[in-house]
Amino acid sequence: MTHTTKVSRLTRRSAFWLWAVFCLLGALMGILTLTPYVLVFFGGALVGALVLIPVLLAGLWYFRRLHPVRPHPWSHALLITAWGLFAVPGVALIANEAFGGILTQMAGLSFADRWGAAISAPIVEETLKLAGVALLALMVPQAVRGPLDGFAYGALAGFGFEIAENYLYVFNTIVAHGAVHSTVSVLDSLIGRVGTIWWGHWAMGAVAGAGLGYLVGATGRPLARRLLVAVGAFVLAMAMHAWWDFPLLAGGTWVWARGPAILVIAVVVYRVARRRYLDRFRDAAAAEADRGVLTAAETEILTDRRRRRRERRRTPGGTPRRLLTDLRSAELDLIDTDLNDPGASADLRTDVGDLRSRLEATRR
Amino acid sequence: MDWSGWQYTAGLTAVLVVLCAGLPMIDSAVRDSEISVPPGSVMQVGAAHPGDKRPVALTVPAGWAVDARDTDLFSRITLRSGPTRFSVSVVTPRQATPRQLWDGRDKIAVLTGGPRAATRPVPATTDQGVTGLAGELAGRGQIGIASVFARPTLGTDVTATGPPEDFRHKADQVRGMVRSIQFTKSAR
Repeated sequence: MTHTTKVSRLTRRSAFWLWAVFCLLGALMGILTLTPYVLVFFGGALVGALVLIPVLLAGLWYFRRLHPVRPHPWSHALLITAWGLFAVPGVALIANEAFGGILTQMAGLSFADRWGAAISAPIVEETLKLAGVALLALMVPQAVRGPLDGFAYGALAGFGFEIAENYLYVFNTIVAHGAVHSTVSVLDSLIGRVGTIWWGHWAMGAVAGAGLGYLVGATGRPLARRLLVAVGAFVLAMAMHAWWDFPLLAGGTWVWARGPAILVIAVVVYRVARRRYLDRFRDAAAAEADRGVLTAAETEILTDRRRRRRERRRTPGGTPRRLLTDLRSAELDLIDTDLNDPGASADLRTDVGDLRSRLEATRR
Repeated sequence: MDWSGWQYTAGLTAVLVVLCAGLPMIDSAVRDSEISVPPGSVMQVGAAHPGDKRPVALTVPAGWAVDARDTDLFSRITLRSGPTRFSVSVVTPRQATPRQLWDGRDKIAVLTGGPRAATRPVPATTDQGVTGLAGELAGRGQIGIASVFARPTLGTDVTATGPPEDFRHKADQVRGMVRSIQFTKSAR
């Protein structure tokens, strides 16, 4: 697996331009919508940004590393987070309002007010988040190679959207409080929304993304089964979202009934995907050890990021450390390729052999 | 250009276009902009409590209809009679006086681009006895009135505007609607 993405290769893909257009339009819409609010409530805008930017960076750092063997590439993580930050809120603002209008017409003002969010937001927002993961898979085909990749990128799409939505809610809350004591309103909003971020948009995006990852990555399984899993995960993500917005469970205390259930589902999906991946990874590593490509010790060290880091630190700096890093990276690429495209593994085995010879030469 | 997977990209484009253009088109096609209201109806606005009770209510006179495009029962209801519109927003400050709400509505008016206050606000009271402030609005070929009423943790912000001739004709109905505003018991 090529673990980085070249810009020139990216821009040759039509999916990249779709991503770019929607991110750009979403960002433009965000600027046009929020600028007047920022100018009028500058203090609140500043407090909101000072709280939410570090939260965004923490989430990006965490979800990028949400993989048992190695972190996801920065380039992929940034592409999907940008989709969540700009494209998803831009389209969701338009689509949710239209959906609410259609519901009002069909079922009346009172029904639309009570049930609108629980009906429209799961459909619109989960579709948009998942569209981001699908676009990433089309832009960078090696980015989504299984449920774990889909989980992390779905989580990042959801998390980016959550931060954008929280910033919008900063101003909504100021207005809802009558623009009296705007800094207090901002803190109210941030405490309420950032405090419940543990089970927010990221969790639903992650579950749907894991399903898409299975559809795209588990190519050894029958298509019907993969489709069933992907659709099932998407429906589950929408159900989680509807559960969060369920009007009969509205009110502060119900947060503690609704939120943890969402978090538990996301954690269970991750644990299942992780265990399945590690089982397959260990099988593939053992097969490479049988072929003589990997050593028995390497099959252990490859699944443990901390041991790899310690090993790097103990290796003398300069060429030996660089070669060791390249060797481990090539070995991980080889295993990933074994899992997804075994026919392409032969060249990578040669690369591993070359790198090991060069590394050993530096140790003599 | 690499066209592999173009059919999936086309599918995603279709999904995104449906969401950001298709849904609004369906909405425009099916939604009536006005929902008629029987004369004397009591309309409620604000976050719904159990039993669908909302914290603020007002009585609608004959000739007024709900502007569905500018109504969200959670926070705001807008009524129209010809070119004159009457909008009530519910606000939930931690604690606010009418003066503070009036200053707040001035800031919000900057954002919505509505007419600004043309006179200093004077004390006003609803039939229920809730106190507040009211003042006249003028600007952009429209005149109107604005008023705010506040209980410490609940308030309303009323804006009624229209072309001068039409608004003067309906001013008594507008004042009647303002006076009819009620804060439900649970919200006091």
